[in-house]
Amino acid sequence: MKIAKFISICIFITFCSCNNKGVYENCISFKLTDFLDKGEIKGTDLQFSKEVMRPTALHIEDSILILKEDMDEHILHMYNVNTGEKVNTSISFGNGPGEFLHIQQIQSSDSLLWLSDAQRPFISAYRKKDILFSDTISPTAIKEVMLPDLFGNIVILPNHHFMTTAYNSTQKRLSFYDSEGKFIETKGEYPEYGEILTPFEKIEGLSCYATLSPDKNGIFLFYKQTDLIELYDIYGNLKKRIQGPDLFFPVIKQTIQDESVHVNSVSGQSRDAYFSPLSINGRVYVLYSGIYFNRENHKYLKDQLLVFDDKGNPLQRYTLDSPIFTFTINPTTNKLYGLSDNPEFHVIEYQL
Amino acid sequence: MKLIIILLLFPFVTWGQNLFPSKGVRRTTTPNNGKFVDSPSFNSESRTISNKATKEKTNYKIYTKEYVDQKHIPDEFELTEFAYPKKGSTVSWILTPDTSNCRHVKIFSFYRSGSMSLREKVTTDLNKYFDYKFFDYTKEMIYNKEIPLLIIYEADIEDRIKQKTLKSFLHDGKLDPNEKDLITSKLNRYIIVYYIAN
Repeated sequence: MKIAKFISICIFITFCSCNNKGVYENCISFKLTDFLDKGEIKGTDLQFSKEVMRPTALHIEDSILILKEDMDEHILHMYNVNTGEKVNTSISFGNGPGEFLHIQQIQSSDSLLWLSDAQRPFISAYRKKDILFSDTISPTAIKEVMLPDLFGNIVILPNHHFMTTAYNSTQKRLSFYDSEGKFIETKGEYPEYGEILTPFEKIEGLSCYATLSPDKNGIFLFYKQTDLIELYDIYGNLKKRIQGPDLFFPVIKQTIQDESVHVNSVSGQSRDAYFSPLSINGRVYVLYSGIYFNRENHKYLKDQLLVFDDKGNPLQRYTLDSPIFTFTINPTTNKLYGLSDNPEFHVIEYQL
Repeated sequence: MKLIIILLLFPFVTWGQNLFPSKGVRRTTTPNNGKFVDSPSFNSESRTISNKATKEKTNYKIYTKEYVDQKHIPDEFELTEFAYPKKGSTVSWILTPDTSNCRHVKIFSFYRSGSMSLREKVTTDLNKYFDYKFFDYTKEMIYNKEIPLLIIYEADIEDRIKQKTLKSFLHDGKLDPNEKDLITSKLNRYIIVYYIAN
């Protein structure tokens, strides 16, 4: 009897230790059924007075939709969503003063629009009216902040400091900079799940989107290649970790050719997770995929819109009848504007 | 019997605690102090290239090709980027040759998608240095012809200072693309960046 008890304990310990692989520490899981299913919602293709070319990001301010165009000399194009009229054009492509190489994010904060350039890397603040309505293509920024590290995401904190997820393998999960771009500290650990990753694999496989929480007390990280969501406070302390709905982990492969390091997703094994989170009206909206990466014919459009509260609790989910790859939401009308490239690039409007 | 059972179980417990690296994972050290993205030196000259598509469907390709003694040196990465602009849209990108290390030229290209390409060439000849010149070009896309944008060439120190070889070809500091063949005939080793649209 004692022997049997001893054997049982050993087997139990073995089971626990062998199962460290494929588990995030202190993580709560959730399922799709935890969301209130709002069903399928129908979108309306918007027509504008000028044809859109290749918009890859968008943002809405009242009735003015800002599209970031990749196939025009000028980057930002403004349209009135009610009349369809083109209102304005702003910001030139380039690396000179007032120009941008790649506007990665358009963020709104009080009366300012913040534009971040992922290539250089810097972030500039403009008066909204200067971007939306000014006659000049190159409005004057009221603040320009150069950062020492390239970043994947940048979040403007309530104290006007900045948080980024830096492309720097010597830094931790979150990096903090003061209002002038001076480095303060780096905090937080990349989530571990039992696989040993190289620094490059970690940065790529655990890449994420970051957004300030609706109550502005936290920072949400939505991961791209694992269905993991983390909530940090604005000081960089991890508060909560949740995973779902499919519970998968990054599959990433690094190869070295000559002196070049390549990090790739693995066709048929890697999966897409979360995209384009947006905090609005006390909630966080995010697109969810879950599909396997297909190198030959990967589908980037997503039809699942998940909604969380400001603590990361599942609330609702919508199925979009026309899938999109990114979106913005008007907080007043609760209308969602999404971008699709199927069959051509266009804007779709949904009423949530 | 008790002893045998304990010895059999012990390895299972230790294996469970010991995380073996996956066979597909290799460890590596990161170069350049953990920053793995290169960038041009601060005083590098940049040129924004903008070409407007005038056909319904356009296949726009950018090449970076090397020639030595007028012979093309194949490179699997010489197709640098491509795009499929529709009529009326503009392909814009930035071309930045960095010759701050004049024996190790870096050719950066920045694209609207946020991606960047980098081509690097070195010269081991102690008497040679890299120099470059931009070609003039039109914004309206020219189809079915290689349109040169930038040429990087090896020059000796005297030539680099006095700009002897290509001085006569310069018009407002730029080269005429129509004179490309004549220009390249004067060069022993050069790298040319061009686009071709069809």
